[in-house]
Amino acid sequence: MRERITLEVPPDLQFLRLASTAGAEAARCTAIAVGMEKQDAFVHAVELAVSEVFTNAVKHKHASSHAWRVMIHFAINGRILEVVVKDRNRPFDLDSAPKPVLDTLPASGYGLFLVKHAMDTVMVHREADGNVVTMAKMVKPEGAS
Amino acid sequence: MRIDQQVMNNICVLIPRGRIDAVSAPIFQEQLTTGDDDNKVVDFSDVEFMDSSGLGALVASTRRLRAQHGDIKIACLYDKVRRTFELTHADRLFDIYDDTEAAVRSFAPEKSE
Repeated sequence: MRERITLEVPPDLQFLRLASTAGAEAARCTAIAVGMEKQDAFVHAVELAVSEVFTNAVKHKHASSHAWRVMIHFAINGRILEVVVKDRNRPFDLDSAPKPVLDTLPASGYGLFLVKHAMDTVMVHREADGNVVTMAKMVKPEGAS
Repeated sequence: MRIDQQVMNNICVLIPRGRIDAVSAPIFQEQLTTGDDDNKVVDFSDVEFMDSSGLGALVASTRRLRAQHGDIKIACLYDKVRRTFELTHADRLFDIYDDTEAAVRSFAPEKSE
């Protein structure tokens, strides 16, 4: 099965739930398509990753950014769900996001760290007018590492 | 998100319900840090989703209350929210209890019979 779904979402936090639950539903569809319906961890991981990346896109948007949309593409390819999120923001470096130093009780800095741990692969590259975050995760039987 | 409150053995118990994300995290943090109680329990049994914004609010509030010699204890952390704690290793920062009563009792063990 190979399916593609695209959302164009205004860069506003009022649409955060829409974006992240769309991620959860895309994950659920991926799991059902391969006959593994009990996939709470997989669904939650994708929902979390989309929530973090969408929030990041909104929080770092330019003041003049009302005219563009966050583009969220889901591609179901067998057991693999690929999620691509495009924004129109300034560049950011995924690798520069440090692991939170928990002893200092940091109030922020967990977002990209969570994305990297929730998904199997995460890449960021720069296009002419914005950032492209490409993430993928494979459905595995519940309990498999 | 809605946040209910109750008092058990003079400890403030917060019961957030719904999603704790970038939209609702500021409200969550405000509720965690307002009031005269420096010791609080958060019952997560009705939280369906929490991302890093919610976790950040919880950690920032904990830092503030610990500076005032208080603390936040966690109760009823079920799978979805527990994963957010575990992925970030934030579960090491908190005392986590299976039920609210145990979390409340932990603030005053000397009063146990």
